[in-house]
Amino acid sequence: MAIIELRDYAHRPTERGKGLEKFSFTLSPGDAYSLHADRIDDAHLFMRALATLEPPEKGSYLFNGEELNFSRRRRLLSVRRRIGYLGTDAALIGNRTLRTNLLLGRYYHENNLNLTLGDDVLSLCRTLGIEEKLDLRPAQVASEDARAAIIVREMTKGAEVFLVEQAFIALARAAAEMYIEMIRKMIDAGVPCIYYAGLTQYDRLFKKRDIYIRDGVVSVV
Amino acid sequence: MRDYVGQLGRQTVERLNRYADQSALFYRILRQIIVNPRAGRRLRLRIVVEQIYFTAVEALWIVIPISLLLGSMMILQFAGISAQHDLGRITVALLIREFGPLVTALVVILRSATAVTIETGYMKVLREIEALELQGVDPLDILYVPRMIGITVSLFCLITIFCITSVLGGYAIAWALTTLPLQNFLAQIGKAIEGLDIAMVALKALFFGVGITVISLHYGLAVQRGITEVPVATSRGAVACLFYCLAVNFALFAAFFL
Repeated sequence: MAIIELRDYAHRPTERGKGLEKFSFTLSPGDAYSLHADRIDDAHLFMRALATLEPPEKGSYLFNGEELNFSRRRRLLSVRRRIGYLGTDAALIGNRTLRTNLLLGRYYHENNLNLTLGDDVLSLCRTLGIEEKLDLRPAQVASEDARAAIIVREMTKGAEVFLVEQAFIALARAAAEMYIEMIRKMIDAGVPCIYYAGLTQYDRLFKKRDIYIRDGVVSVV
Repeated sequence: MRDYVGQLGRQTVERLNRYADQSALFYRILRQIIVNPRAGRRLRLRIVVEQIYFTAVEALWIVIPISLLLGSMMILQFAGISAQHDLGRITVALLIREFGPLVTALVVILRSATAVTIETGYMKVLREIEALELQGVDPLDILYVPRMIGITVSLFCLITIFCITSVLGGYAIAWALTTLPLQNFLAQIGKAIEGLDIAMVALKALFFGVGITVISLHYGLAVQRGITEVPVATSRGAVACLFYCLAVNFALFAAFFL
């Protein structure tokens, strides 16, 4: 069964984009797509639509077969939690340390403030070089470290789907290569992934199939 | 003329929309306080404590000097112009019932309401609220509810401290620095203060706290496009909070004393 299914989905144009004309799309376990768009804004809108951050103007969104009601905000949160989304504008909470940012979801859902980071999270932090900076706030670390913390947060939240959007723009080369390896492992493990690289050399890293957006028309090849 | 009428109509519709949005936000926060979901309960409590620390404890060094200065000045003025037997009643009516809540609300607006609008505006523009939602965290639970509880409790505490400090401290300063007749002043205050006065102070703390929080959050959340909107929203939010407090102050006075 498809994890995400968009049926006759359409979205009005954004300020600089063409929007998304009516299309249908499914994302199932094991899928890996490379996204190509003639406008960055349309690619961004497509990714945000999949992350449930843009309510459809027309059509419907099904997650694990259940149609989402975008006016029931609290129900949407449990879906958003199961989608790993590394957008270009993904953020950390500015007035909390990187450690608290990584633990915030668990503090909330487990209703316990005495939690510590798990070994898997610490290992990822070590790999991406932020282990020593976990007690600093986002403004006190370099942008690549903040980006690395976002990657750790999204990769360790147990997402069923992973959406990656120009993920390497703020990463040092070594960290980017490690990150590529992590995504590759995830795809090999069957976690569906959509990847938008923009114009970088990473364009064809993971693709099994392609999604094209031209003048707001979405097509899957 | 047609342009003027059109502009007036648009402004009225915008204002009504704003009030409707604020009412909806208030309803959502209130419902969440009543439901008190288990998820994030401890986190919420910690953020409430942080908010009380910021709004009440860190504001003490501002509220106490203001209350002392205002209290001593007003007690001296009242002693000069009123007969001895009216002094207690006038002090209760003006200092405790009117100036205490209003001046404290003004301090909270200047310190906390502006901070809430700025923080919320930045969080909205920088997609931090979305970051919370992507972790399945409801912003209502850890941003809006703690702000409302924290600011309302803080306001109640600060008003109480303001009233006590302005009366006792003001009396002490007036007694130490002047030779005005202030015999039996505290006994007169004790006689003049009624249950209704205390209820009025509590009601004002409640209405001011809830209103200031909702208005400042609403102006922060209304920021849409960029960081440059945040200062404008902050300024408008602070002015709206001030007018709201003055209007509520008058409405409560009219309801109980006219």
